[in-house]
Amino acid sequence: MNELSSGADSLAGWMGAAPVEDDRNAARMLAALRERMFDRADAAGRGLGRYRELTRVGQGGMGVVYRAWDPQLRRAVAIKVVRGDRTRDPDRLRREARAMAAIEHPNVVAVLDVGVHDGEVYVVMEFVDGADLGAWCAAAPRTIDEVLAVFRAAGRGLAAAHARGLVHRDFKPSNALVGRDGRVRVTDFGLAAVLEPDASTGDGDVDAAAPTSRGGTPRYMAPEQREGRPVSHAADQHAFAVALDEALQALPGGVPRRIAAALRRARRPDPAARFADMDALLAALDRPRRAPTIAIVGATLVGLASAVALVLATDSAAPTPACTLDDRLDAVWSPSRRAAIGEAFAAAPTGAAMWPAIASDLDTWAAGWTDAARPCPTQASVLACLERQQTELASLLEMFDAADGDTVTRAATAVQALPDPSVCAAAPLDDERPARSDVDEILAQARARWWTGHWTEAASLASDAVAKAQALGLPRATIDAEVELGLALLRTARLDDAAVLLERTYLDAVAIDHGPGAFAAAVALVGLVPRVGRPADADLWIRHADTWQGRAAPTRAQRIELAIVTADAHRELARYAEAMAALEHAWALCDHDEASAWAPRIFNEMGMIRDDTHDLEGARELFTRSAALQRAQGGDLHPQLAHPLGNLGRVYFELGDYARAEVQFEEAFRVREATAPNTPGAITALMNLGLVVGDGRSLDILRDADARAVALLGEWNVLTAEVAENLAGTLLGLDRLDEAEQQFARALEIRRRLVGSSHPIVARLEGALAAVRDRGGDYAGAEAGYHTALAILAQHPEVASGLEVARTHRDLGLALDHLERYDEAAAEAELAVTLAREILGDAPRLAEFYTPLAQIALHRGRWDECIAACRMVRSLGPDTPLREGLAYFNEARARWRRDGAPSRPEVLRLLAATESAWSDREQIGVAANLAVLAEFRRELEP
Amino acid sequence: MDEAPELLSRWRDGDAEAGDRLLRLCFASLHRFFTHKVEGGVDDLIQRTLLDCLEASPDLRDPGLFRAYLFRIARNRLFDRLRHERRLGPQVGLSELSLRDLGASPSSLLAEQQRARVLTEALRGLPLEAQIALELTYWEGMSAPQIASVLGINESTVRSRVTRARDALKRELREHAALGFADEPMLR
Repeated sequence: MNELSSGADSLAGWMGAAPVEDDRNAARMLAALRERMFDRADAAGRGLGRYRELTRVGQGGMGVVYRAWDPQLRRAVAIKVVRGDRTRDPDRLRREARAMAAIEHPNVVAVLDVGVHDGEVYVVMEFVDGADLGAWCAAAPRTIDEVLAVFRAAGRGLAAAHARGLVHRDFKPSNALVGRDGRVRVTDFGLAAVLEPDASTGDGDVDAAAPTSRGGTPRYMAPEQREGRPVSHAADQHAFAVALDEALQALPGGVPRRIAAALRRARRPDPAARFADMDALLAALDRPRRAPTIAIVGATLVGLASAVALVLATDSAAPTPACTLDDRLDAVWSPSRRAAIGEAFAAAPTGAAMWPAIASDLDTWAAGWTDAARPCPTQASVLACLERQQTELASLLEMFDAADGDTVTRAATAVQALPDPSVCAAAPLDDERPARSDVDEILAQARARWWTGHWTEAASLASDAVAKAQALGLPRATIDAEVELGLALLRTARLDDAAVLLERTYLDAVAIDHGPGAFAAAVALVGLVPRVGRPADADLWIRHADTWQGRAAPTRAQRIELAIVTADAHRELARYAEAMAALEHAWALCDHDEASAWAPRIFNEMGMIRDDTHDLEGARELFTRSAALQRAQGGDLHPQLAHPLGNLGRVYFELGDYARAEVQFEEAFRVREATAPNTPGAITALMNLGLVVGDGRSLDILRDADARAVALLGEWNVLTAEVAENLAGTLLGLDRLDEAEQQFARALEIRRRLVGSSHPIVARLEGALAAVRDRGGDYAGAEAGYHTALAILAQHPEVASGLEVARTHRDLGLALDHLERYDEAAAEAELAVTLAREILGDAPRLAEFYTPLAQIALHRGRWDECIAACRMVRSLGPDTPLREGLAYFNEARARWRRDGAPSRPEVLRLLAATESAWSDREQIGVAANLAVLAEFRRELEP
Repeated sequence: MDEAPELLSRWRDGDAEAGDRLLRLCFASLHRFFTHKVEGGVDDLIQRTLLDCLEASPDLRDPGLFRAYLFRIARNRLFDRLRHERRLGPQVGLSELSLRDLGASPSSLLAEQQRARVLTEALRGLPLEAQIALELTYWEGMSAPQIASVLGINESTVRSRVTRARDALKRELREHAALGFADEPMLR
């Protein structure tokens, strides 16, 4: 496709540095252009959470209102983006919005989500298809009864908010919506209170219908609010009364005296003189009851919810056959439970952002369960299945009640992993029931703990369940409990125990033809065997799992899990195409739904495969997608976000784009720091960041990482060794040799203690330490170090990199050269060239091996050898200006020594070429060599 | 880019949705193209380029031609802008001048990214035509015939210019890359 840029060309790496398509500024520019050119907001660019297809539907005093699509809940929503300059206090607005979200009432617009993006707060609400109250009143001739009915409904919405201690502060006809279904819903609770004064009202042209500095709209505002005194629900009463009076005055026939009196009272200047509460006002507005039929008609017009309530009320009055199963989940999942768990979640860093989506998944699950339960099934097997599932839900919600960070992190997956209620209709008869219901209850608790990351507790409960099932003599229940125990052991790092248990359980399950047990055990083993050193066995377990899949009626969660662990096993065995196919399958099982809790993980795994196969661009895209999905689902601080971000950082690093690598590592670290500070993951993230930062912070960051590693894990730890090694490398780059040597020595000492003295990693550190000593003038110390490194590498021909061995010989040669043991030096340097040539062929990098050869030959007085080596370097195309210059300079010296005065013109020409290569004195090593060159020039003078 | 001609024609017929999609489709490329060549006003250049696309009505039955068409317009817009800013008459051959010759400074967008800054600086030292040829080759993955159509020169000239530009860029990079990339950090 790209004929011009083909071929190995280091330019390609350089040219990769500039594109800026995912830059934040670029995203902002795109959003502005879309708005300017097409009057469109850019959901992707401005990243309004998960919401897509934003279309502007209105502009109010506080910002822009969009209609948008929520792919997760698959419905239209309304989004108010509050202009940045209008938000006095985003945190307060979020608190208010959370309070609004807690109001669940048919006459209040449901707040679904709140977020902050780029300093702009946005509030996501249910989308109401209809008109506001003012437009509704004007749209057709209305009767007094109709107007009163609609306002009463709005008033009930206000009353519901007051019951939760929330004051609207800006009730007016434009803040109440009348849907096409006739239902009235009040919106924008409390928003007025958290907004700054509108700059546009400062020009003297005060619009009486626009909110003012104190919130509220002058025409409807109570005196206490206008004067800036404390505001209570009585202010809403006032606004409501003004609006209703306005609407009634517009009708022909005037306002009935009783209504007018009530409205007057609600508008008294002294808040205490108004009605005690909204309900009292509404009661006063109620016309004397005439006939119930009218009330029902009114109800269908006004509020669908109350109409439904009426219908249900009559229904339940009719005799229905007794049903053993309560078809409602109210006892387990109710609005109050939702609010309580919402508060528990809000205590975790990402909980508030995640809860609405999780709650809505729970609603969906509850609706599915209710659908399954409503026909009042009578078969024992179906009933048992539904009851068991209800227990699963109850156990999970118990974990949610006291949600900790682990629970919040995994809550979305845990909910999506709940069993599918629709399978109950076909549930097979189980002759172990009802005896095993006790076991099931313990297992439900174990599973709830497993999915929420409390594996130790899960293991202990599963172990109880095994004992109980065995005591009751229930073989299938025993197997189910053992599988649960195996899964928990697997997560508590007792891998070998888990493997032994699961393999035995699998055979037991097969023996009694217990399909679900066999399937679950096989799936677990697919993921497990590669981790206990038997990757080849994974194939076998994949086949076993596939065989049982058809007979086990696995849940979707189980099938996705199988696909993912299968992919892991393939990847472990370097079968990347198969691994990718398995992940594609997992993705298909998620219905290609980006809101699926598995989606971020699937894309992260896909990215790792691309990374393994050196498709860095592909990996970058997948990690980026994974991170975006994880953000959409869990906000900016979700712990799992650290994985794709860290991977992305590594990919950018490999691509040579250190600036982007830095951004990603910084983000990854921020996530770790917020969710799991003082963990190895956080320290690794910090270390990676330290390695790529470009502005001199490197050393400070690495020292910080070092201190954290020592504090967390102590000195004798792999992580501490890695940090020390990287610290040393950085110090070396800064030419702080003593400190670098100290850190290399420290890393070496740690590694020796951990893995012994003959591990290849120790060889690398010995070599590094020797190089520092060589640079610091300790040539004997360097020689010893290189010998040690070579001796270790010789013991590990299977892992030692040929190039590393060649370099070590070369460096040893240079150390010997410094020690003036030229013959030994030459032997080492020649060996290095031979070894490197086997690997590199005639690549320019070979120059780094010929340059020392030339230098040593010069010191030995082997002029011809020196000249040959220099010419070799030049013909290879030297890779740095320093080496290019040395190739001329060493030849010049060799020629002069060999041929004397007659060679002067040629030598001078070579020196000029040298100086031209060394025109940049800032290049490493150039300045020092120029000094040598100046000295040599004096030697040339006749 | 395959759907671009279709989107363009729908946009021309008044379908703003299609125009919006076209903008999103072309944005990254155009942004990349303009951002380090001018100081600010990149959004205007992008908008004008797209509006120019709308006004001209080329034969775009071959979707492969769209990219060349887009960049031809972008290049013209860029040259207009540079001429305007530098008060240069049409007799000055911009193609052979470099941004550095013109004294144009890039948007500060990339200034914090050391490596990108070096590259930008090196590119700015190339004749504009050579710079554009290299960018289209590496960043947009365009072929020699496509680039030839953007620059209005023949294919073999493009090939030789890209080759020369590559050498020139390497020289530039060597001059500007006196940076501490010598010690590659180790990562886990």
